[in-house]
Amino acid sequence: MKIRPLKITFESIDDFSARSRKELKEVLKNRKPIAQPKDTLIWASVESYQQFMSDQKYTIIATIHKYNPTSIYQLAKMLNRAQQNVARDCELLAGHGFIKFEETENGRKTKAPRLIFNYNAIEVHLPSVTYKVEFEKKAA
Amino acid sequence: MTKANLLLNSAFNISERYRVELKVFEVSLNQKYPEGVKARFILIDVLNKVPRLIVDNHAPFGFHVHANLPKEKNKRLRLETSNYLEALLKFWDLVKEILSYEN
Repeated sequence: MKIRPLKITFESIDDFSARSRKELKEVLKNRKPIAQPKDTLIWASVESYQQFMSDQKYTIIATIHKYNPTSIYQLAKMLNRAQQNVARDCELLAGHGFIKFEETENGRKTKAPRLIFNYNAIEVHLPSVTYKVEFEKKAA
Repeated sequence: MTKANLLLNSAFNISERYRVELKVFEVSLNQKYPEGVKARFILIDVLNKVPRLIVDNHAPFGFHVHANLPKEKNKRLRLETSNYLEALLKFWDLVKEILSYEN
């Protein structure tokens, strides 16, 4: 099976804001669009991502991928969790760009939770740690 | 409705609560956007499903901030700049200010 991952990358708020200013300058000058790749979500820190991304949210995403539930009610049944709690988790996942809601017309209007694209894995790109050993100090 | 060309589209998840969305459109010259550029920088409170801070640039206000959201939707504070980069810089300063007193 081919892996189509949703990538999670990390950038500090200062780095992201500096990059956004650079990109804005570029688009205003060239009028050529710059869009963040659809398969990438940027988080400010590993800690904030881990705080947000519970096992229950991973399970929600995997269940949406596997079973395509037509409503939050159906999803909650599949997960054997309270609908209210699943709805809240889904709102948060949608708010942070993991999923979206699609209107369906199955008798009455309901919102079906869907992945933002058809990904089947989440790839977390931990920031690399770089450090230097200063020989001058080391040798002293 | 005039056609808008999305020039810049990026999003940044700060925490469980906050997400920033930056969108800049090229639009045909009109009274609302005399420079033909529509900019919208938003800090979203995802937990409460409301925008917390918006900077945009439509006439007759020029660059302005909706700072006291969601309570006062129509309250606008003028940003003393007509420069897009400066407006974005001020937006980020305000985001950091909000984060600092909520942490």
